Amino acid sequence: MKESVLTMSGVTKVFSTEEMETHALRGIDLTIYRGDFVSICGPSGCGKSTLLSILGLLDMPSSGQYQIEGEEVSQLTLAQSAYIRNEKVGFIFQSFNLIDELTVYDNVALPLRYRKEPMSEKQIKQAVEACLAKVDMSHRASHKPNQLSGGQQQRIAIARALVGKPSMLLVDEPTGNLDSINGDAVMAMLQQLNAEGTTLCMVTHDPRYADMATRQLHLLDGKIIDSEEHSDPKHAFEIPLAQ
Amino acid sequence: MLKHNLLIAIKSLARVKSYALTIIMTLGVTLGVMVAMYNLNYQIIAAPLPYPDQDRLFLVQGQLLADGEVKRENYLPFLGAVEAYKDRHPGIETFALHNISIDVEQSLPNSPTFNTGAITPEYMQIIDAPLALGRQFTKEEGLDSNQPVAIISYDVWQTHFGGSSEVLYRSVTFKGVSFIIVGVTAEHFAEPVLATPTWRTDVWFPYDYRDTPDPLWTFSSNQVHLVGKLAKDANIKRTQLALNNWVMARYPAAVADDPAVANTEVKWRFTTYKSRIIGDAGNTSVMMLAGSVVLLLIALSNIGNLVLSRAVEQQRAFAIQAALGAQPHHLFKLVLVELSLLFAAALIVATGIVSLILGLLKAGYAGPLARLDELSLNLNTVLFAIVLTLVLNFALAWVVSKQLNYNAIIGALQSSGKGSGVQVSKHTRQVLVSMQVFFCISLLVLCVSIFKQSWAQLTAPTQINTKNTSQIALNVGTLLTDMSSEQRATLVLEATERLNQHSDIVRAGVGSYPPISYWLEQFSTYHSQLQPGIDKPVVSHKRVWGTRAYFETFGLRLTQGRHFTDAEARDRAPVVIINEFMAEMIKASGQEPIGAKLYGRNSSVPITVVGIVSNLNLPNQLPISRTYRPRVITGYPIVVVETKPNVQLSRQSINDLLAQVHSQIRVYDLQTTEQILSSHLKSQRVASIFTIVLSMVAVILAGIGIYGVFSYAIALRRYELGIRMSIGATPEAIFKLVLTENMQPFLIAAAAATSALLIGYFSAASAPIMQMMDVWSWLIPVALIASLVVGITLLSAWSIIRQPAQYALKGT
Repeated sequence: MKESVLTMSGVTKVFSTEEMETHALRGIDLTIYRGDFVSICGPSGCGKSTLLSILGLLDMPSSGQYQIEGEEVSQLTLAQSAYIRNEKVGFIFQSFNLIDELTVYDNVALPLRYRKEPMSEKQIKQAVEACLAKVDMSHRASHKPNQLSGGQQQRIAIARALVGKPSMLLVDEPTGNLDSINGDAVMAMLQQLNAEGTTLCMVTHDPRYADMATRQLHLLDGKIIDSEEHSDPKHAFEIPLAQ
Repeated sequence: MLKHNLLIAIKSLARVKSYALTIIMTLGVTLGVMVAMYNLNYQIIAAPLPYPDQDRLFLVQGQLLADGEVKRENYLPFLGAVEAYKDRHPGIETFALHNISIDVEQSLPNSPTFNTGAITPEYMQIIDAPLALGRQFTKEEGLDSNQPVAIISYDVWQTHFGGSSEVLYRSVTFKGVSFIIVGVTAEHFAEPVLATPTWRTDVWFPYDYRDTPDPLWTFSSNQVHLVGKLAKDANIKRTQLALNNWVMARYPAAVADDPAVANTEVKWRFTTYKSRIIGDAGNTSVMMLAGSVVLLLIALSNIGNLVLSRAVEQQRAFAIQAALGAQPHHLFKLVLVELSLLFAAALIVATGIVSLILGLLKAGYAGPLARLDELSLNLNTVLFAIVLTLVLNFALAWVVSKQLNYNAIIGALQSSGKGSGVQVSKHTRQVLVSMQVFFCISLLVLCVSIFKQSWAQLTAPTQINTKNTSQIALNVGTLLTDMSSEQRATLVLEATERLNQHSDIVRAGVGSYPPISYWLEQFSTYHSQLQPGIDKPVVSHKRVWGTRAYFETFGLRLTQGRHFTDAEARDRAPVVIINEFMAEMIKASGQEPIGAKLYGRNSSVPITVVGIVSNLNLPNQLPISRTYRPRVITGYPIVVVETKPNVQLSRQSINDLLAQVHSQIRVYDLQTTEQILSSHLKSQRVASIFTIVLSMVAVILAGIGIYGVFSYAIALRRYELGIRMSIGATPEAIFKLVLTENMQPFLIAAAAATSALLIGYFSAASAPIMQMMDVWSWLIPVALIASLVVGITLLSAWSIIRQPAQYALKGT
C-alpha cells in the first residue's frame, strides 16, 4: 500500500484587499505518495504557485485540512511551520534564491543551521559535502553564487533542498531562468532523484517537463480540473531540444 | 532653470507631505534650540557689556587673613571702602559706593516692597546709565550731602506711576523720608549685577540713605560694594597693588582696639565687571550649547537618513531625467533645490523656536543666568543661523549626491527600473546609526548625571519644618534710628505676640535670617575657639539668632541637652545650641560637647554649649557647623510662623495687626517655607526638567532615525530573509540574525562614547559635570539605547517575521 506524504482536503486560499477578494484556491483535494513525481500545470494565475506555497508551508490556507506525514499542519504557528518546513520540505525555486553574501558551502549548510536540534559542524560538513558531490559541485564550495552560471546555481539550490533529507521536494519552475541545455540537465537530475526515491512536486507550465512526472495535475481557476497518471513518463534525454 | 527646478521641487515635496513636515520640524526645532543657545553664549561670553570702557570697570572684593590663612571671604571693611572712595588713588579714575537693600515704600498704596540701591553719583556715571526721564544724581547729591532724591526703575515707573510723564518731582518714602524722584531709568537699561543674578534695583537714592550701620573698619557686609573705573592706560595689577598698600597702611591702626581682629590683615582684589557679571554662567551656557549641538547632530543623522531614503525612492525619476540628458550636476541641483526649500522652511520654524526660547530664558525658566536682560535676537545670531543652514544644506546635498551612482541610474532605466542605482550602502547605514547612538549615549550620560544630582537635591529631606510654616520679614522703618535696641526688642516681641494671636497662626517666634530664607545667602562664617586666647584651634560655623519658639517653629530638633528660655533670649545669655556636625568636631578635640565653652578670637568670655540639634540638609549648602544663639533681633527681624493647615496668610491682615503695635513696623516679605525652598531649588528643578526633556527629545530623535535606517535595511534584506524563512528559519532566528547585525553599530558607538567620556573624565576630572558621573550615569543610557535598538529591530523586522515566509518572498 502506498504511503502518503501529504494530504489536502478542501483547501482554499483567499487574498483580500479593501476593494476585493481573490479566490486563489477553491477547494483543493490532493494526496501525494512517497516516491511520487507530481507536476502541476495550468495557465498563469490559475493558483499553481499559491498551491506550492501552501504545500511548502510558506503560506497558510484560508480553510481546509492539510496533513504532512499524518500531522495536521493547517493551523500551525509561524515557528512550528518553520520547523516542519525545515525538516520535511525542500524547496527549489525558479530564481534559485541563493544568498549572494554566503559561499556555496554556507548556502547549502543553511537549512541545517536552522534545525530544532542543533547539529555539530562535523555533521553539517559531512551532509553538505555529500550533497555537493551529488550535484557535482564540490569544487565550487568556496565560491559565491554570483560567480556561478545559472545552471550551476540551480544545482546548488538542489543540493540545499536535499541537504536536510526532506520528505519531499517542492520545485517551482526549476528551468524558468535557464537555457534549454541547463534546463534539461536540471530536469535529468530531478528525475534521477525521484528514481532514487525522492518525492517531488513540481510547478511548471512547460508541457515537455510536465510529461516527465508520474502524475500530472491540471489547475484552472484555483481548482484541480484533471489528474493524469503516467506509468511511463518521458525521460529528460527523450525530450527534444527546446525551440 | 532655477525657477523650473523650484517648481519641480515644490510639486515633488507636495506629494510627500509627511516627509517634508518631518524634516522641517526636526531640523527647525533642533536648529532653533542650537541657534538660541548660540545667541545665549554670544550674549554671555562674547558680546560687549552695554557700558562704555567696560574693561576699565571693576568691583573691589576682599579677604580677611590671619597668619596668611583666609578667615573670611568677601571681606570689605565698610569704613575702608568709604575712605577709599573719598581718597585719590593712582590709576583709578573714580570710585563709587553701592549698597543694596530691601525696604518698604510708605506712601504708595499697599506699601510695596522695593529693592533699593544707595549709591554715590559716580555709580551711574561710570556705566553711563541711560534714562527715560530726568537726570542722574549730581555731585551735589554725593556723599554727606543728605539730599533726599531718587531715581526709579522703568518697571516701577510703569507699575506704580502708570508711566506718567509727571512722575518727576513726585516722591517715594522710605523710613519716613520722602525722596523726590529726579530720574527714571530707560527700559533697556541693564543694571550691572554685582550681588546676585536675580537682583534688580527698583529705586536708587543717595548713599547717605543706606540702611547699613555706621561705617566701621571691622564691619563687612555683602550688601556693600566698592566699584570703580581705572584711569585710561592704567595697569590693573599695579593699581590693585597700590590700593592694597593703601589699605595695609590704614587697616592695622584702624582695628588696633578690637581684639577680635588682632594680627589680621585684609587683601583687596579687583574683579572686572565682566567676570563678576558673567560668573559661572559661562560654564552653564556652554554646557547648554553642547547639548543643543549634540541634539542637532542626532537630528542631522535622521535627516540624512530620510533624505537618502528619498533619493532611493526617486531613483526612477532620476533615471528618466538621466535618459533625457540630465548630467550628474543636474541631478545634484535637483537634490539641492529640494533640500533648500526644506531648509528654508526649517529656518523659519527655527526663528520661531529661537524667539520662544529667548523668551523663556528671559523669564528665568532656565535659572539665574547672566545678562538675560540684554538677551535678544541680534544680527550676529541671524547671520549665524543663515550661514549654518546654508552649510548644512550644501553638506547634505553633497552627501546625497555621493550616493547617486549615475551609471547605475541610467542602467536602472534600461533594466525596467529593477536596478539599484541609488542604494544606501551598509557602511553608510552603519555610520548613520553609530553617529546617532554615539551622540545619544554621550548626551544621555551627561543628562543622567545632572538629573541624578538635581533630583537628589530636590527630594532630599531638609530636616526643617516645611509644612504649614511661613517666614515673615519685618521692616521697622524709622525705629531703626529713632529707638534704642532695647526699646525695639520690646516692640518686636510684642509684634511677635500679636502674630501669635492671629486666628490662622498656631505659633510664632522671632530671630535673624534663618539658615534658609528669601534673602541671598547672608551668613558669614564665624570662628570660635575651644580655649580662650589668640590663635587657638578654631571651629568654623554659621550663626543664627532667635528665640526658642523661632528655632522650634523653624524645625530644629533637639537631640541632646536643653533649649533656651525666653529670658535667655531677652538677656542675650552666653549660651549656644550647636548642631551634630559641630558636636562631632568638639568631641574629636577631646571635649564633651554639652558644657563645652566657645570663645571669640582673643576673648576670655565663654559661651556655653547647652544643647545639640540635628544637622540640616539645605539646598546649595554644604554640611557645616552651625550655632544657634538666644536673642531678640531688632534690626531686620524675621518671624517664623506655623499656621493652621490650608491657610494662606495675607500681607494686609498681618500689616493691620502690626500697625496696632507700631505704624512703622510692616511686612516686607511674606513667603511659605515651601515657596522659599522652591526658589532655592529653582536651578535644580530647571536642570531636572531640562535634562529630562533633552533626553526624551534625543531618544525620540535617535529612535526615529534608527528606525528609519533599520527599516530600510530590512526592506533591502526582505528577499534574503524570505529565502531563509523558506528553508526553515523561524521568526526568532530571523530576529536574532537581524539583531546581531543591528547591534554592531550600537556596540561600536557605545564603545566610542564610553571612550570619549572616559577621556573627558580623566582629562577634566575636576569639572563639576565629571564629578557627577558614576557607573549608573553610564549604565542607564547604554541599557536604554540597547533596549531601544532591540525594540526598533523588532519593530522594523515585525512586518517580515509576523507573516508567512511567502510574504517576504513576494514582498506583498
